[in-house]
Amino acid sequence: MAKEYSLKNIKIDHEYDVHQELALPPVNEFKRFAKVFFRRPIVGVGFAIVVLLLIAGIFADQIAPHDPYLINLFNTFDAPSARYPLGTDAIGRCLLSRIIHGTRLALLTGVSTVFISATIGITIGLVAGFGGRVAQEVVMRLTDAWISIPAIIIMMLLGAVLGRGIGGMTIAIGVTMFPAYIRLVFGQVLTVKQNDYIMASMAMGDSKVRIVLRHVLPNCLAPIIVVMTMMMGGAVMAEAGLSFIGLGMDPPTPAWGTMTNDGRQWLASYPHLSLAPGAAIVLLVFGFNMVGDGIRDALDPKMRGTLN
Amino acid sequence: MEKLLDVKGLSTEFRTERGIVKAVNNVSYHVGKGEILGIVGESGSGKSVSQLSLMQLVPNPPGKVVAGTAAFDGVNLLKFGRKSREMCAIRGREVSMIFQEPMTSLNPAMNIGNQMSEVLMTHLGIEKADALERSADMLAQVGIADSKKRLADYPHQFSGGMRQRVMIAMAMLCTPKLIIADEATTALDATIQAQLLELLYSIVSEHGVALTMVTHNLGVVARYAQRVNVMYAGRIVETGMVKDIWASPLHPYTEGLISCVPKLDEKLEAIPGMPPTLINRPPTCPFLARCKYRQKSCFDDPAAELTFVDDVHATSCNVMLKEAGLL
Amino acid sequence: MMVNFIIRRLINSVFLVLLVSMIVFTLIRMVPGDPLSALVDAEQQRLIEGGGGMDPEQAQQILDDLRAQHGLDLPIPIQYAQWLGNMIQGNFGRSIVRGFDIATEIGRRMPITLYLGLIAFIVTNIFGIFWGVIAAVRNGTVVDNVVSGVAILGMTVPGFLMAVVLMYILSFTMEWLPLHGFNLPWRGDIGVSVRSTVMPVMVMTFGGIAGMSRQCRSSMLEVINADYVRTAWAKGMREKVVIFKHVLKNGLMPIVSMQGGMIAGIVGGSVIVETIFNVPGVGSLVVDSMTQLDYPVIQAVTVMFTFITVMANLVVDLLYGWVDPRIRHS
Repeated sequence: MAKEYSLKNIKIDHEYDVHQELALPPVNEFKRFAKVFFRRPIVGVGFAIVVLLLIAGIFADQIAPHDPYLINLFNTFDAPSARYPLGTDAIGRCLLSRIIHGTRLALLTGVSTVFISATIGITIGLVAGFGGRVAQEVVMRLTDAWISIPAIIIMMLLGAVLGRGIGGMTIAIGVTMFPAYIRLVFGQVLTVKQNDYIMASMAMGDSKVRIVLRHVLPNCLAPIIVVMTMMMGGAVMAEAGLSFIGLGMDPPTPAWGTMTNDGRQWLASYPHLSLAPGAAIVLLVFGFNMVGDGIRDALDPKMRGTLN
Repeated sequence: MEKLLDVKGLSTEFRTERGIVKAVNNVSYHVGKGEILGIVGESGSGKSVSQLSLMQLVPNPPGKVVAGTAAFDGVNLLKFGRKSREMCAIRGREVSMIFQEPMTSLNPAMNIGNQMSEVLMTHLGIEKADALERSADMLAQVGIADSKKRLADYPHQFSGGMRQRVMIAMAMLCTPKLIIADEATTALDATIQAQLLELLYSIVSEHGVALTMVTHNLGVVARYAQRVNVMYAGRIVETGMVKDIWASPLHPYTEGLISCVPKLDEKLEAIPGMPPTLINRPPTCPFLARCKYRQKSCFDDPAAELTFVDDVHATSCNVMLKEAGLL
Repeated sequence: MMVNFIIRRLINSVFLVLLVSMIVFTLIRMVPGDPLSALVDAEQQRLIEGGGGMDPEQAQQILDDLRAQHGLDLPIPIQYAQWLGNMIQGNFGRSIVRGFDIATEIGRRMPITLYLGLIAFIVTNIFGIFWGVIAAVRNGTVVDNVVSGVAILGMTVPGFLMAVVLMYILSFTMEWLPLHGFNLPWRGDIGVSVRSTVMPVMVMTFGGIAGMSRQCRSSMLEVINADYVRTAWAKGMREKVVIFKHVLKNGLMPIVSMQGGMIAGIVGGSVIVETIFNVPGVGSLVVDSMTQLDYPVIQAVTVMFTFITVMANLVVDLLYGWVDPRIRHS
């Protein structure tokens, strides 16, 4: 019979009834981030590529074996050699040096473009979110219009208006890529505004700037960073594409797109003139995309706590 | 009572990045024909996963049933493939499940009529028109007004409670032998919860369908079930008749659960601490860290197996079993 | 209800196209240099080489006359109003630099761009969805890994580079496909037409297929693990029914909303692809006009492109409402 047994009969041994504290070890945020980030080997490869290209871009002057602009008409179409590791192009310029200097341009384009578009997008998103109905309507309509024009046409036009240097191209491309940030920030503002505590703080006269800094931006920082890294690759591709059709950087700037196009004339006999700078584009875009993937995973709240 | 479902040594593991989680660990129990069995435990205790395991609905990867048998009407369900014809013929026909989330458990892109009639058409091979008519009848039985018209409606046009009624109707369509209600009413508010439990109870007892009620609410089990399994950290720690367990729990965890049920004149008592993670568990009793009856030996002895102290009542508490002279 | 919605969207679209045309109109006129002075300079150059030459005043006079003739001497808002008035009557004007009638020229080139674009659209959808679904259903297997790998490649290799590589392999090395000489299948040799279509279409679709199969895979995976799919399994449905009746429709909903962006991508991509493969479509017209700053041509083409994108988006939204009952009822 069950009644013979009961927990009530058990003497509580007070020496052992103190509850063990199950304190979890503190999580090292940086370590956690790194661990999720490098979870996939391919992300590690991408990261390594970006780091290498960063070094190449920053120290281009020191690393490049020759002056990328130096023309030598007595030494055209040189085959790869110890002196010219990738050979020379149609007017005798060192291909490797041009590619290395191109790295700097591509990195600059990628990074600054993304900062320009993020700044524009975040600002517009905040204005739309905190503005009245009219402001919201205007901003959204303008954004719709902007999205509806094929981006390449805006880039070409703005490139022509602003001049085909690195500054002009960066702005031209950056300006086409901002709408992604608007929706992000705008959505976050609307969510935050619905919170009771925000309404309360607004009613108590807290400034909008304070709300933006304390509640809006911290909440959408993670997705913004993810979008930014993801878009770096896109920006590099866009610039290369424009340069390729002759509407990007002006020659003789060693832009990868321009070089790919220049080499196309000799594709049959000297394919590497076109394919080597092309490969550089692929490497950098791949690197950016993988780093973006890794950051997205590492910042994804769903992944939080899955690794220890 | 004749056994309808007899589960023996069921173990289910999940492969995660941190290691292997033993979500269900050597679980054995049975459900009699027409019986109502309760399964209680905190979230993460393995109560839901054990039910999904025997229906072979554990997402794989990462989950996998690694051991055990589940004899239903004498046939071991676990010998069939997850997507096999045999398994599909049992699901929805012999054993139905009702899930916790009424908001997401129905297909948002399909109207209720189609979602219900496909069950009848698949299992009974009847015509669509016929199937729709029987679906409407079943909807009426679970208290949905204007049931014929509502067949054309989509899930988003129903409230949470109504959707769960639809789920109950869907589960009952083929008059199965067993219904597994996996936290079927947890997500709803209290009054609707009570209505639905009443409905479920009356409908299964009317048709003589066995019911496994998975819940974290011992109060719900006490009201409807005859027997109850208490689960903790992937194991059944105590099983027995509801009235026996209620009167005299034989596991400290069960005692804690009972004191968690609100009563008019008593102070509520929470169980201190958190359930343990199920990765790399030490061999000792999983409840050790939260147990107020623990003794020095508990820190050394391996966790005891579920051991019967009489015909139906069993516990896996080391202290209790020692007291009873069974360990 | 529905008609109301469509009318409202159409009115919106008209405003959108107007807004875009205004933006472009202003932007073009901000580009330093102007097409006419380039023309006059070229003429002057020719005369000087022939031993003659205009004096600067004469040249200026000619330039002013030309400006007046094309209405470029008027304030920009008035120019815009004139252009708008003409366009509403279906008159896109004449090319400043090359003199052709723009409507006729676009009418001649548009079928080519639409033909390539339509093929690219169909190919992207078929392959993107097919591979995405396969990768999701066979999640974690070799097929999944291969699809994901190729998708990464597709999102990494820019179209123009893909074109160069294809040209090198298929035209130069293998000598299978022609480098240029595109013609429509109903105008001239069908064999030539098909062979000259292969590479442009491959270039236009590779990135799209990659993006779509990735998106399709992830949305399918999300649906495959959804509660209502578990319900379908629990009801005893066989795998075929679960996949085709329950998973596909829900999993493909995000794909419907992707179509708008994809069409915009194809339209934009045609600019680069047509330039590389010397396809005489609207895309290559933009590039030529951009280098020569041919104002009215750029404007007309931009408006056409915008119109196509906007309409495509409208159709997509209607489709989405038709597919998703939750939107249909709200």
